[in-house]
Amino acid sequence: MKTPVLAQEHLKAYAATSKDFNPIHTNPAFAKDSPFGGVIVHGMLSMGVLGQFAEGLFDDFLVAELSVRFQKVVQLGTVLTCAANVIEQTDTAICADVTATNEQGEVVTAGRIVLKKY
Amino acid sequence: MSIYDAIGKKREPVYFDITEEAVRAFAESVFATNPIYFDKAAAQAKGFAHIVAPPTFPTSLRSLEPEWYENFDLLRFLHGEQQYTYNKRLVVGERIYCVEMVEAIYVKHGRSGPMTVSELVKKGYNMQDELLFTEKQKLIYLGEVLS
Repeated sequence: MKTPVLAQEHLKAYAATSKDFNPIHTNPAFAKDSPFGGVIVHGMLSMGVLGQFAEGLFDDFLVAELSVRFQKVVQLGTVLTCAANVIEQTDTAICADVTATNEQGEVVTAGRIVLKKY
Repeated sequence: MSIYDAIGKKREPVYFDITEEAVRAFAESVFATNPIYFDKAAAQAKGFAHIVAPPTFPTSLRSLEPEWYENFDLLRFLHGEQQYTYNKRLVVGERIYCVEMVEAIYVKHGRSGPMTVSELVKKGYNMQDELLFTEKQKLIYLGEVLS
């Protein structure tokens, strides 16, 4: 699964729905003085994308656990690509590693999910 | 007030109604199309009472007081890690409450200098006091906050 090119409008929408109004995500004038030189994407947006992606992988299996590390800052204008690698699977649970990768092939957010059968 | 004063102290419970509008908007904002986040009938077909909230939805249930964050320069504040553990998934129509706590704050010395790490936990309960989910987050401040 790929996101659209992450633009300011997507970050504004995510700020509103997540109630994370840190201006480093929404205000270019504020963000230009940051160590990253401009607006960065909410780490939690990448996790949100991974969470819903993981939930669509297997019929009747939903997320019971999800943990991630935010490994790299995501710049505005990035397309994130999600991937999952199943580690263990039983009739009732699936454990997988998940990653969100930028167009340079760098893993920006990585973690592990446990899906349980519903 | 020092940021360290908050360590280990549970905050007052904060109540939230899980609304269809908030769940749908959140799901759209993470580019989800799975019908269980949008369509009651689809969620019911999977055994839920109503539309299911996406796994990271509890991030929107904010209760830690903004003043706590005022000790940090937001330009130097990074998100390190985040974790959700569910006993039960959240569904639309529920009323829940969250209890938030700062578990730990410590200074770490990395290659790029000192970092102040805050570990926060939020637990969500239904009105029968059953634990529904636990959210843990690790926030990293680039710099040393000693008070």
